[in-house]
Amino acid sequence: MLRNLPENILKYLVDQVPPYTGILIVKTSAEGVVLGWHGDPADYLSEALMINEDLSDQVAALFGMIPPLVSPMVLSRIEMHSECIADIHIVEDEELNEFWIFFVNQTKEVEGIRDFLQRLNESKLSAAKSNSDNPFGALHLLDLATFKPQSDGLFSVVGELPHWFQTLSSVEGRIKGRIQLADMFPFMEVFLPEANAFWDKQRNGNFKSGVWSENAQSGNNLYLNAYAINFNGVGYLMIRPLYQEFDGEMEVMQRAREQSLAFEKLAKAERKLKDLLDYKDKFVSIVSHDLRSPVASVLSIAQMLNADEGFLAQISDFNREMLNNIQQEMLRLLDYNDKLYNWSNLELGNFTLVTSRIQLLELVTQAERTAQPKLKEKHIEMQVEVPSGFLVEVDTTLFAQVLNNLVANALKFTAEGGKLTVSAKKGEGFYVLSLADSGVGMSKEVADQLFQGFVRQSTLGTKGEKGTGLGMGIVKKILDAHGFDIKVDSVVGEGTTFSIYLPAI
Amino acid sequence: MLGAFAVGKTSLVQRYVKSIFSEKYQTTIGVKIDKKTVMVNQTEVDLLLWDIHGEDDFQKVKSSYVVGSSGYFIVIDGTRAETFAVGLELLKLAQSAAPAASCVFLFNKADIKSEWEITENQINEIRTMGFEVIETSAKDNLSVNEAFNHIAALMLK
Repeated sequence: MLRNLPENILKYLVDQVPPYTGILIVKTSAEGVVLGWHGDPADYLSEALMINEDLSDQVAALFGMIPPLVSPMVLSRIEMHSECIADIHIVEDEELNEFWIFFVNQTKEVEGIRDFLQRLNESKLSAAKSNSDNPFGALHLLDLATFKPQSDGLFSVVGELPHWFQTLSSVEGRIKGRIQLADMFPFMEVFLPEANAFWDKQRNGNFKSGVWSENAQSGNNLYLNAYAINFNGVGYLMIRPLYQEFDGEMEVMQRAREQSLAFEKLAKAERKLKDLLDYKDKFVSIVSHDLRSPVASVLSIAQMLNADEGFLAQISDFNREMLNNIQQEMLRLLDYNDKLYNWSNLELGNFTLVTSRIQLLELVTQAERTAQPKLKEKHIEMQVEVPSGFLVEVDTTLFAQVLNNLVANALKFTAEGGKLTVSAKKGEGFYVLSLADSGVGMSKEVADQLFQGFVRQSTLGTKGEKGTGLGMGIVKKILDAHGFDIKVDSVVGEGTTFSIYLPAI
Repeated sequence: MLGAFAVGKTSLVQRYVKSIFSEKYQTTIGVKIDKKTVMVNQTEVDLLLWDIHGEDDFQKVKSSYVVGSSGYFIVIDGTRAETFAVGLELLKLAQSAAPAASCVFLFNKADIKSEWEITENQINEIRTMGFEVIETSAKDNLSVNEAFNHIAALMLK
């Protein structure tokens, strides 16, 4: 039906009818006979609406109103039935000589102001009791309790006291004549001295107290604010309850403090965790330090026996192989132990960078020398393309460890006959040192986890080489300590490139 | 009652005045004043207990709340190290606003002492400053009555 509304009626609906929660639109003839409707009549009318019935039979307020004396005509807040109050708009469609009746639901709006109107009317009825000394009129209707300070420190009530005030436990039965507010509200002991100082200034304005709460007879707490007011040279004190607007504020405060407590708990858990991690690192550091000596001794003995040809000639091939295995495994154990020691000390921050200026090429050449046995073993070509003259400032011992670990990692994952290229390029104020291998590469998932720290399970190399799972973590720690960045690009089956960014000197 | 937020000021007052305790943390806004009449050395004393909101970035304690007091508790949460420093700050404020008032330190949440972050050294630090220290638990009603009765006796001296 809405689509069929004549343009002028639709315009009236859009422009003149205020926002509504519900509406019933009825079309009648010039005699008020129902021709049709839109909306649910049951919400507005006590009985079912019928075509061709006289609308005023259902709505007494419309009796004699159709046609109205003027169009449009608005009948405000008509009680349709016990649960519905509506504004009725009667609008004439002059072309068709028909009438459109809008029943606009106002129930909620009326409920919202009913209490206020009730008290306003009661106030008017008891106007004879009003204090002529009250410049604030019916302010108590806005829930303000108003008092006027007297010279003896007592207070007289100005106007009417709002209902909430009289329901306070501390007030019950104590409003007779002038009152001692501080006796009623101990909080006033704090506020009144400040209020007196404000009143003494005699400047128009107000001074607000902090928030305090009082028990209501219902058992609930009521939060209150007091205001000292100077008005035309006279001091007043107003007390106001804090309702919905304060509930929101309280909720924010409650949430903020709960979050603060949660944050404190989290910080506490983090501190405990850090202590445990430190304890773990210290433990690892001590154990790996103390293990180094016996492991190195066993390795020396194995190396000594392996070098003793007279001894080797006396033992079986099997025993020679076993002896060789002992030497290799002890070597690996020593390497693992050293890495563990370095790792734990890096974690604990038990090191100081001692930097010096050095040619990048010199560091790379040194790493190449260290890698020679493995390069030969796997027939891997290591190509160095680092120009001389690239000067960097690093802790040479620690940075050598970075290069050794990266080269060892590349050789581990590059098959026999592969290639490793170490190159350097100059950018704007920095060098990029790249180590690109033709190895097996790695997935993005593995690459993302590479520098996270200890890897639970190290991947075997192309020749079954075992690792410690610590090498890349150590690389990252050392580079972080220098303030250098490292990036990894890898394609599975094609190879991996590590790029270190160092400031150019 | 002075202290950082959530140290248990309201819980201590509720335990003392109404013998109740709630686990739920309900932040105090503004000031709540309770009354309790107690006998101290055969003298009937009306205690007006000012439960003042906790001190933090959101709410600051006004010194005027302390000016007229005869005594005050500085309440510290034993499980939260941060509340110690706040307690000392509030002590400064209270000493300046009410120099003659009695002061007792309450280290609350004694029912979970295994979780305390406040150390014995810190508690001794307070004792060395000349203040009495009582370890309380509003939850388990540990030393709550004793604390209030004690400060009442101090205030009468």
